[in-house]
Amino acid sequence: MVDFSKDPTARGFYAPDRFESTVYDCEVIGRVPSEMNGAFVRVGTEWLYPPRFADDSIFNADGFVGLFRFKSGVVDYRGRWVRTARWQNDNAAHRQLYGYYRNPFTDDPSIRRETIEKPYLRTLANTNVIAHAGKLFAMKEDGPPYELDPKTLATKGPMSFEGRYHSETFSAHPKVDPVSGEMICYGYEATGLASNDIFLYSVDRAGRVTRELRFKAPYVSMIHDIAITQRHFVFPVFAFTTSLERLRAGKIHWGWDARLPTYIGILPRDGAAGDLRWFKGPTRSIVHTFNARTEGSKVILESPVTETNPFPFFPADPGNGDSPDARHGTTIRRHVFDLDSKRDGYGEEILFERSVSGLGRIDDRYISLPYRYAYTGFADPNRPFDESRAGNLRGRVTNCYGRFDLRAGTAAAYFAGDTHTLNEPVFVPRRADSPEGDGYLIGVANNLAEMRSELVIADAQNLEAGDVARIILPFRLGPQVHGNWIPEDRLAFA
Amino acid sequence: MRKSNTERIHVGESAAPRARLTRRSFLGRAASLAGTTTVLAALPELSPFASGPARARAPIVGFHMDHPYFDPSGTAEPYYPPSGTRSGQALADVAQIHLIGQFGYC
Amino acid sequence: MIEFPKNARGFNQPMRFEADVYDCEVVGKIPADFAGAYVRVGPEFYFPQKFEDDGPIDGDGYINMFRFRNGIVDYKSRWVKTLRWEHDRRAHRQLYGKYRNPFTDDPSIREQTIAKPYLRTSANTHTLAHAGKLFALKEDALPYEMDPKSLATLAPWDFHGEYDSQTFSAHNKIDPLTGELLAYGYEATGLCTPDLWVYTLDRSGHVTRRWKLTMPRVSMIHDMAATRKHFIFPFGPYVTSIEWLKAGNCHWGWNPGEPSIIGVLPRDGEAQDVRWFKGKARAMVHILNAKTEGNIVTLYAAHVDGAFIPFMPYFKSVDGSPLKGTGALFRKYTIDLGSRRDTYEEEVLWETPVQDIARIDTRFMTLPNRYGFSGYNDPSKPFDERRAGNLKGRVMNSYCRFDLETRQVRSYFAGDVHSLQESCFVPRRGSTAEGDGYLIGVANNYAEMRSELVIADAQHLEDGDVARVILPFRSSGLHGLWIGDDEVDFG
Repeated sequence: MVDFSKDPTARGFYAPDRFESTVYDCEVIGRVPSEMNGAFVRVGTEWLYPPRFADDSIFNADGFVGLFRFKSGVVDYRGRWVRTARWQNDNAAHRQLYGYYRNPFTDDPSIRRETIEKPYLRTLANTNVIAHAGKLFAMKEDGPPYELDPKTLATKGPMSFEGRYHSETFSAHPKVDPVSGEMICYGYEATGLASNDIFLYSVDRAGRVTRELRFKAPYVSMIHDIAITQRHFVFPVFAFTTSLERLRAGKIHWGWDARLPTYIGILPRDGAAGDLRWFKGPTRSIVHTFNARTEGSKVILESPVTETNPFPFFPADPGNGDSPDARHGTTIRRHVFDLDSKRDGYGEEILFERSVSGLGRIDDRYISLPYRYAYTGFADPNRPFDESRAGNLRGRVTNCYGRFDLRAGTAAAYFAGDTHTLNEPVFVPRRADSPEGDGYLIGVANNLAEMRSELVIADAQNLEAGDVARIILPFRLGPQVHGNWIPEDRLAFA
Repeated sequence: MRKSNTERIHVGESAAPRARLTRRSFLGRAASLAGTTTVLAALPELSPFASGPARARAPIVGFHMDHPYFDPSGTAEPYYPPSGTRSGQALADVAQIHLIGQFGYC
Repeated sequence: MIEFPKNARGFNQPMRFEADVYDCEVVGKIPADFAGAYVRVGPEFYFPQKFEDDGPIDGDGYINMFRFRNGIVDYKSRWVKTLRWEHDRRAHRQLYGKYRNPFTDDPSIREQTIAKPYLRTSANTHTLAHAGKLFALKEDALPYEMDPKSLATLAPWDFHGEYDSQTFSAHNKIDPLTGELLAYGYEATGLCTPDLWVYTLDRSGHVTRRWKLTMPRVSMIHDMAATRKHFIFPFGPYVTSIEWLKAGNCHWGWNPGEPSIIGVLPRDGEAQDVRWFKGKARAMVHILNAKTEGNIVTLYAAHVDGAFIPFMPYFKSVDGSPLKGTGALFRKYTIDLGSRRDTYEEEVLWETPVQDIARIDTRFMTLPNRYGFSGYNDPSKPFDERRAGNLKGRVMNSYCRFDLETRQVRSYFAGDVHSLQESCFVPRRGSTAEGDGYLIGVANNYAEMRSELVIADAQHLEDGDVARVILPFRSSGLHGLWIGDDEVDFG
């Protein structure tokens, strides 16, 4: 019997979702811009069966993809499970077989031997969903990406890139170079659990692997995201770490260790593994990056950064915890790496004092190039929030999207509503050739009082004006990690 | 403002004494009982929604990145969802003839 | 822009989604003998209604099922993709006008729907399983065949070409002793025609007999009853005419000056053997059961006084007088076929209003039976307005088992933030006694804004749930059936 009653987090708006759905002609308030033809695709996490451990991470829940298909002002929605091998095993057994996030030593005995040997079989494909070379795929950094049918969202299966991709793991944040059209992707822990191997690949426009690089990092870490410039790769290595010893002890995959410095790897894009140079800096968490560029001898990276552990479900072991002096909150920071310098230090600058969400994006047509705007959500405690209808969350929920102007140092905000929390925003160019930032900012808002989710569409150049349109779904959506806008010409949608 | 909440959290049939929480105790119990979230069976009085004096470090439900999470340390700021959506309220002002006329059998 | 009426908020905001839940959350234990599905059909507007004074009865067909197998339950819901639904989908807007009035349709389709009004059906009222097939039904057209595994919409079914009425019924009966389908259609030859065509079909869905009757007035025979010896067709003074439709009204008007009529046709007789009995004007919509004992035909039903209210507030009086109606009460109607009188007697059996969609143990259809099951409001039970909203006393919080003989009531309480949709009796496997089984139905949980399928022991309703299936969203349905794995292949 499926029983979530012992999971105290699964209540109210956050009660289990666990359903596939289709909505034809979604309810719309306002008018969907007629130029928006394509799809907003999002992936997130949903427990098919309750977690084995109450203190497991939501990142360990099954992958679930939602697709809002936009065509001539009409929006259809569909949501489907990503039917990974793991999902299929649990579905057949009618129970949860898998243990802690990325720790196969805690799996059910019936599967444990295999999952320890082949941890990539545990992947949930629940972190990002992108399109490249005419394919749609969902991925998680612990295993191969899973291909999905763009019309139906049926799961086609794990991708192998014609056998030319040799890492056991992939990344949730490949980068598509808008100039060359190639996809830069990589896998850390590439040769097995807690291995310090990183394999990097270039996959061309047609989906063919054209390049492979193999290297190691100063310590095994969560390289969740990277950055690219036209001339360099940038790899953040920061204070989460793991080891086989830790996993055998039955702990969750990552432990935070505030004693560990941050290492940023800079590698020329046309270089060899031996050209990799590590810069070293104070303890930071750089889970996501906004963008990077190379100016002369300097590589400039902008990211949402914290000085403390960003994930309470990956706690520090005793003694490894954050310093009491560490600043709390995520702020948009710039790191400058001078390749002419002989030292391994780098400069850090806080660009905006406001605390923001760790999930942020740019206009993806400017990846690796000089750019102006960063978009991210933030919690504004000064906006109205109706606690009687939405819970004691004033100031704790992402209720605004911000456009941060990195050139002018100013910010503009869009407010979602007084019972709403916002997922990651995505920028949608008005047309393929529109200037940077000319387009729409969209994202899913959860309406905690009405028990439903709403896709908001704002003018990215006029966030203060509120909605251009809002798509009203008739139910709650589960948690989302990342999403993307995919124009109609990139994929064969319905 | 602390809200009292009548929600009951089912913590299982076990009458096990409240054990100090460690990750090993989670693992030990979970390994012996397949398939379900068993951890909370070790915590007969897990009640993030109870009113009264704060207990020393009982686990609570916190809120992070726009989602609730289980905090075994009990040190995070607790999350209290609203006690009900009052979704029938929209019909409260509708005359009975229209309540059943528009919405049928409810 | 798609915008629904302003009062469609809270629990009753539009649903309009298709869903699949694999291995539903359950509190308690699903009875081991549940092998089959609880299938429901109801109205749900795909696009908002074209006219403000159209009612939910005109919504698009929406079918859902709880599929039970080996102690596990899956849930599935789909649109009934009628021709009407497909047209609206292509146009991305509501083309269809008022309830069963093609004169109010969009000009792009109106000519066709006036000529062939059955093309307008939304198949939104009930379900049926017969001859291994599953159907979604509405009385204005042939049944729509549905795929029981996927709930995909197949096509309208005319029973091997042998069923020739344009219309069918949402409340056909399966004779539990012979397995025959007892079917009928009124307005059988077109809009506002007085033709009532009645059929029996054998277990494999072939027509074995037909009767072509002319009704004394065109009216809504929404439900019928059958006994071992008779068909019974009760109808109140809902009236219609082409002029009424051309004036832009919903299909039915209410004529308080006309009597109610109960038609009685011998099952082994001819069409001319039908007799029409008159009585007090009331909306006779749903029926519990009937029996024939000697010359006495007894009909049991939960009927209102006056005009019927649920789903039909906009069927205006033809004389402009205000509509009046009360809650439905369990009633008994007695017809003495041995007398020359053309009237019947009526008696109220219980003064507490109940849902008029009362149900029985269908193994006792056509036979003397004892129990009626329905929803009602039990004012002695708590309702938590703080969590659910101010609906105390206004929603059906309990199911009753009403004993038609002793008038005793046993009761199941759904919960303090709940209301109940239609009930359904599920026999215990291997049982033969009436009422030996389970009472199930979908409850609305106004605090959690979700629906829950409740399963109670029909002989011990006071004991509360045997099990409860918790859905992660709301689910609506008008009428439903328990359909066993032996009747239809659910896969």
